[in-house]
Amino acid sequence: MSDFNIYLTIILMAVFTYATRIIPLIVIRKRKLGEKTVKILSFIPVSILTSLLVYDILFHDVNGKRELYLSLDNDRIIASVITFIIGYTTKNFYVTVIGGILSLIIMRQIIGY
Amino acid sequence: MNKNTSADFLKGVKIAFPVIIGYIPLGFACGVVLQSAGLTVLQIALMSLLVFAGAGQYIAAGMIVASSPLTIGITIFIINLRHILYTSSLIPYIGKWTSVKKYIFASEITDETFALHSSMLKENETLNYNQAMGINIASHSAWVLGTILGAILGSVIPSEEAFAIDFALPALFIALILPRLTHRPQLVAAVIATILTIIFTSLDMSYGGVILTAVLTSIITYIIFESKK
Repeated sequence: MSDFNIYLTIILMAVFTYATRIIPLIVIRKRKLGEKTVKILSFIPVSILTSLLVYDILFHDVNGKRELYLSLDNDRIIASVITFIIGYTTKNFYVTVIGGILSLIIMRQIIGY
Repeated sequence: MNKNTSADFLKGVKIAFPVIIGYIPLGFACGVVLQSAGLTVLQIALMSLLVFAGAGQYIAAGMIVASSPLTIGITIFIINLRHILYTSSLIPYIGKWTSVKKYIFASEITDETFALHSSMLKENETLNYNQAMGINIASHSAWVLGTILGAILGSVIPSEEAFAIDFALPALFIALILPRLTHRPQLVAAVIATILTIIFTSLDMSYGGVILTAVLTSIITYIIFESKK
């Protein structure tokens, strides 16, 4: 690809991505959202976070396709369970994140999981 | 910046800490991939600055050799359609901001910054703009820095797996999901979202499945818990 086309690609990527971020501001700008809509939207964060997590942890890439990877060989599932337990017992945000990462480092480095 | 403004901004930077920890290595890996696709350090930095979309930039790296700029742009648009849900669900909490602030803020919404913002929401309250921008700018800076480092140091890559860097963002997501689960409708939503994601991803729907999951889960959960009232 020529330099010109690379810069053009970057500009188009920027414009298209910004569009995905601001479409709601343009479309919904004039009216106040109804109570029903606000209620439905309140379930979006937990739904999408769970969905991204499941997509990332329970699946892996096999020849460019996502395939279910429900196996004890999937060390990230085990680390997720540990992270949930740490979070549930400590109720501390940072301890949960760092403890979760550490649990996987320990599994990979020390136990050689 | 007056004292309050900068204090709120710094609070946002502090909140963004787990995302920064995740973005530097992820950005690094993305920088490596973009560099090997033939982009210069300047082009990579510019892309991270203007686009700021992890998955999209990875995919662009794979397409840049063989696809036209417009094809890449449209593909990135489809992959990033989930941003529409993010901005939509934040609108009730930024309604009192000026338009300019809304458009600046929205330019830095990603999976991860949205996750942090959504954990700050309180019913009928407006988000603190300076704190929100602290979260955004700190996260964006980490992403730009990570990709530049990857572009420059691409040839000497440390093992990403050994340090569980691939688990930084999942761990963050778990920490953000957990506190919500004490609220029964949110717990049910998480269960429904898990089932739907497994189905849609098995059907090879990729990020389209994630978007559909979020929309369907929110509507189903609403019908189960709210329509009876």
